[in-house]
Amino acid sequence: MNTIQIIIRIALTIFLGLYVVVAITAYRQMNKLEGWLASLKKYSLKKIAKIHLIMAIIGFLLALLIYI
Amino acid sequence: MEGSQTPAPTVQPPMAPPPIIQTPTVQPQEPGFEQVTKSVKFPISNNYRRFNTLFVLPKEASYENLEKDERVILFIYKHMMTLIPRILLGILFVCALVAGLILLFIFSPDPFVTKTGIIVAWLWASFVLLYFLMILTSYRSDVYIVTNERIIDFDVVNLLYKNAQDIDLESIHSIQNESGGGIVRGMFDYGNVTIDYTGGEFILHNVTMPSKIALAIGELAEARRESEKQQVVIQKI
Repeated sequence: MNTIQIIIRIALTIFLGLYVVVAITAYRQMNKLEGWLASLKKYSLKKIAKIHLIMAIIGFLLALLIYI
Repeated sequence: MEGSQTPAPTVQPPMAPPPIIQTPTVQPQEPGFEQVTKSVKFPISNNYRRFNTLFVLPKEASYENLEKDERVILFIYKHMMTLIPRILLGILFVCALVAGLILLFIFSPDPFVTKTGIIVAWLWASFVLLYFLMILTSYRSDVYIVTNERIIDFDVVNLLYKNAQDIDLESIHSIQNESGGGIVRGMFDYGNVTIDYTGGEFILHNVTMPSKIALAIGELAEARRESEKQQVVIQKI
């Protein structure tokens, strides 16, 4: 494993970690939005946000455990 | 002998006329339709369609900053056709993901590139999901709410930026509506409603049935002005 590969692995893992933060923010925003606008509740957007958050966490864990 | 004094007739102050309160004329309800104003009615069955763009006197739909006596009359989303270009872009993102994965598995030169490709594909898939979440949220929270007191434009951009603007119905001067202007717009009957009010101009973009909505808003504004006048008369009395 050369230096460039190590740098790419670390950078991608950090990026995935930051993406988890984005996913958490999106999920929290969806909770707030449903508070502001009651009509949004029936469109299951919070479920999509939750799936997105789980995907981001799995991606980060994959990078940590297998990739790096 | 003093003359008998007749009591001076007491002058009764003129009775104030009772305030004229116009009771709304009860119109016979046509089954399946909801009468919104004097001359505007909408089919109520639309309220139960999942991806409807116009809700009439909705029970479920509400907004956090409604006043005590305020009632939502129309809950208007932009027409679904405005979402099509963004959905097409999302489909393009999905196609790019699939094509990238196919290329990766056909021409995978070494394990490092394959692993990196899989991680990037996973990240890309998450991003595509976020993109669809963002466009759906933006679409479903970009809403015009017409109440018996005002019109509210509520909008959320990119999940983070919230914007709300409202105008009072009595400050409305004139309303214009435009539909058509293109094959798609004409076919699906959607367009803009422009409202001139005391503070400037307020545009309801790409709403369905713009002529009917403009008429309903005009009549609601008129009713609001009438009720304001009556309240002033009652206060003076």
